[in-house]
Amino acid sequence: MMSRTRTAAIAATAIALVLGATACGDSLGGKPVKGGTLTIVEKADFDHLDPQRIYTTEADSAIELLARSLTNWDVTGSTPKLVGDLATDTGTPSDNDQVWTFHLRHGVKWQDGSEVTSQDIKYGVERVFSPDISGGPPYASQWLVGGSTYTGPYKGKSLDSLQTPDPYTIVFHLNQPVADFNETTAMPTWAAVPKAHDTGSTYDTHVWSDGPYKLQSYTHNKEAVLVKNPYWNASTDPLREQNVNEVDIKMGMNESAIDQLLESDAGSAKTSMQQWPIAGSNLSTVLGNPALKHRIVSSKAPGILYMAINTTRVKDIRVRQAIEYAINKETVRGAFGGSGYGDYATTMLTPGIGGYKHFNLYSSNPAGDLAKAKQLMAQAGNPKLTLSLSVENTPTHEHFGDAVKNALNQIGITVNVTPVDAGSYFSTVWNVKNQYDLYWEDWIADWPNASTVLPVLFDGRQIAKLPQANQDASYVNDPALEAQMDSLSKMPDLGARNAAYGNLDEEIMRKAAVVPLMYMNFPEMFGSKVGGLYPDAILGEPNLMKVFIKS
Amino acid sequence: MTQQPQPIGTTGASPPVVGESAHEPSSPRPTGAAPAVAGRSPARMAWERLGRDRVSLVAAGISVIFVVVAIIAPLLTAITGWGPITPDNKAIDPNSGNYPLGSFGGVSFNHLLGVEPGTGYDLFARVVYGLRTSLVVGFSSAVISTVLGAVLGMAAGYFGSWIDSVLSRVMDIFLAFPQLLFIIALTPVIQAALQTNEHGGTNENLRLLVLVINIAAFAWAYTARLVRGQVLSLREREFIDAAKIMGAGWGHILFRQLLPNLWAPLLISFALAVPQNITTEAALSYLGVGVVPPNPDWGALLSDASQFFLQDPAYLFIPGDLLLILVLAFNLLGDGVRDALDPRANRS
Repeated sequence: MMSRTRTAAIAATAIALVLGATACGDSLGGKPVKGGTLTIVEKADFDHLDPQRIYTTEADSAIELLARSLTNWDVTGSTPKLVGDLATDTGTPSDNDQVWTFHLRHGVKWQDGSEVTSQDIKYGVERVFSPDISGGPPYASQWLVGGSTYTGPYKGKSLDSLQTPDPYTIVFHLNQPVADFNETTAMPTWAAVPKAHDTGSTYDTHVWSDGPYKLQSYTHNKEAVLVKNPYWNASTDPLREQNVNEVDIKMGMNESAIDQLLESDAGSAKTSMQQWPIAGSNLSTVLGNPALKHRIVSSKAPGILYMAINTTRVKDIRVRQAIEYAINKETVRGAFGGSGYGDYATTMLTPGIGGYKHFNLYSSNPAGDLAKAKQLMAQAGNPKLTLSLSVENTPTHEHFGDAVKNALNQIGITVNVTPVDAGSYFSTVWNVKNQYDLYWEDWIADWPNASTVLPVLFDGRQIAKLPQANQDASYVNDPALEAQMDSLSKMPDLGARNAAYGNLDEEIMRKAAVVPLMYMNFPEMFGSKVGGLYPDAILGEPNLMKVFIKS
Repeated sequence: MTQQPQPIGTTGASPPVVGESAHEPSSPRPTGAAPAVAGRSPARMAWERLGRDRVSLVAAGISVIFVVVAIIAPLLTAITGWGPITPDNKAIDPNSGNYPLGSFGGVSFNHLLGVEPGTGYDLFARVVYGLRTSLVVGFSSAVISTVLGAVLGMAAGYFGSWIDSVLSRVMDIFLAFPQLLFIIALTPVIQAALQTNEHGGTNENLRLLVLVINIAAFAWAYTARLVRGQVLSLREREFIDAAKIMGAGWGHILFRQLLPNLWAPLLISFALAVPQNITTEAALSYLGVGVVPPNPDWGALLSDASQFFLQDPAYLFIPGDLLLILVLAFNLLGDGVRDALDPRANRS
């Protein structure tokens, strides 16, 4: 998952995550109470709320209230635990992990009272393959047999590798063994969608609910209102609760204004919370304020903030290496809020992800090594380049843009900072039609496994396959690398596989296609009357499934 | 106007002596065979009235200081050593949100007004360069709107009939139009059209020009209405009839007869338009549709400062106070000019 627009990773490799699973603040708040309205104040609109198109953390968190997926994570314990959501359990693999069978719960109802069936899940997953339904993670199209040629259900065709022998059973046939397939199915991609209520590319604002809440209204860039789904039943849903009466999601507020509102905890701020990061201008004062400590929930998900260099536009590797050395990570991190944001990063895998290997190929000084950078530029012939940098149109990102601009100015590169609307950032920059030279990016592993970081971000085959949702922003397209990724994913021994991923990380870093900047922490503020917020080490957001408003 | 409008001779004769109006605070008249009194032109009298007005003098002085500072901005930054887009990484603390080190936002000998949080730019340099933008946009849009307003106002007032109807309705539309909303809506379109190359740059000067035109496009209507009103009364005077009888065409009448008598309202209009336009430009930049960062601009500075208000209030107050003083000074100067040219108005 992307940070707020992070792409979420699934699966917990546990260890480091255990530390993160405890709430920093007092977000659990005691015994749940019924009633009240929860307000979520957002900096911008959701990129997508259509479950098959979701690949950002805010939307992934919000969709938990509306659309249940096949499996899901129970984050109420000390480590996230994979459980069945629409399925009764975490599925049954067979045929060497290439066939997965799930049995569905009975009595799960849509918001109109009809029952959720395996056919609805099949239809939902089939939508992923339609070019109109772009933006989500690539796993379905990668792993389902026949996925490479299937173009979705809108022309009347269906995908045979998704079998529904009866309304409560669904069977997936994969083209390779995937031992943790049931961790993939915890993503909203695997949510059910009823064919009769599918509205295609406008489903973002018409999501049909089988969760505790349904969409009453959703005006883009303005507000989404969720009210109770009368047909939701706690007996069929062990993960969620239906405590608050309404959830108001207000979009488009200035990021600093959100922080100041939540800090004040006055009036409606008491029942509000945020999903986007604390603004760079406020982070260190918020984290340093002892009075706010009990109103901050911090989710320890493995995330990385980085700058991608478009290797098809910045072709000279020496220039890219010079950029690696020239970037001043200190001012960059300062722009995002300072040391509280996270540690400096030198690898694409975050500590905590299985396969993390510590190395640093470039400057050992986080402030950069200008001498070395200039040397490399001289070797490249001292080109006077002008590069565009895409950032979100927020003050924090503008300062980040300034930091990059000023650092690269010193080696003769002029950077044009190009703000992109934050509510559609990833839909814009992941579209191969919109090309920039440098990109602000962040990534949270879909599940804490290197297989949800490196292949997703560096497998060049998706450029042609998913032109509207190409996460390989550096346009790395190396068949040798791809062959390695393929063989790695099939390695049976977890230890050997993780070690191999660590080496792959280092090999990719040698291409100087990305500049890793910071590993991310995810502190969020919430109002004093909000309770039931569990830190979610998978999502990197406070989990909304058991939220309530204190009386 | 206090004096009688005088026909200006087509042969370009020297300006005639003007008789005094009945309301002129009288200076002693020479009696008998005293030597001829040096006649004073209306401009001269207005100038003297302005000179007696303390408030306007101070305001004028401050305005002049601002203009001079804006003109010599590159010299000033060369002296201090910090340009407007040269960050001082040592003056900010990267472990916090790049907050300035030291008090009052990092004010020191090195940085006279402190540094900007988040980026480390020298605030003095940003302020003086931002002043340039404000003044350039303010003055040039005032000039354009005054010229445009004068021409169209005269045309509407003099020609009458359908020309007047059409132009007056056009003026009404522009006066009623929600200027800010229009510019906000139009800016992304303009931005995309102005993108110079595929590496994301926009032509800065072109963008400034668009901004100036935008502001002038809405400001001309005020001047035009004013001018139209004046011309409606002026065109009934005998000197206009005299000029027509002598065979003057409308071009001559408009530009050689009417216009010189309109200089006072036009000057007042211009003097009051400048601070109005400066404020509008700052508001547009505050909303993010004016000058593009990182080019310094006071409106953009205020917008950024509101992000850091709790951590570094000096960053908000310094440019904010300066903007207040600038606009106040120009406004008071404009008021003084109006009082000097039209002392009957609102004197208690």
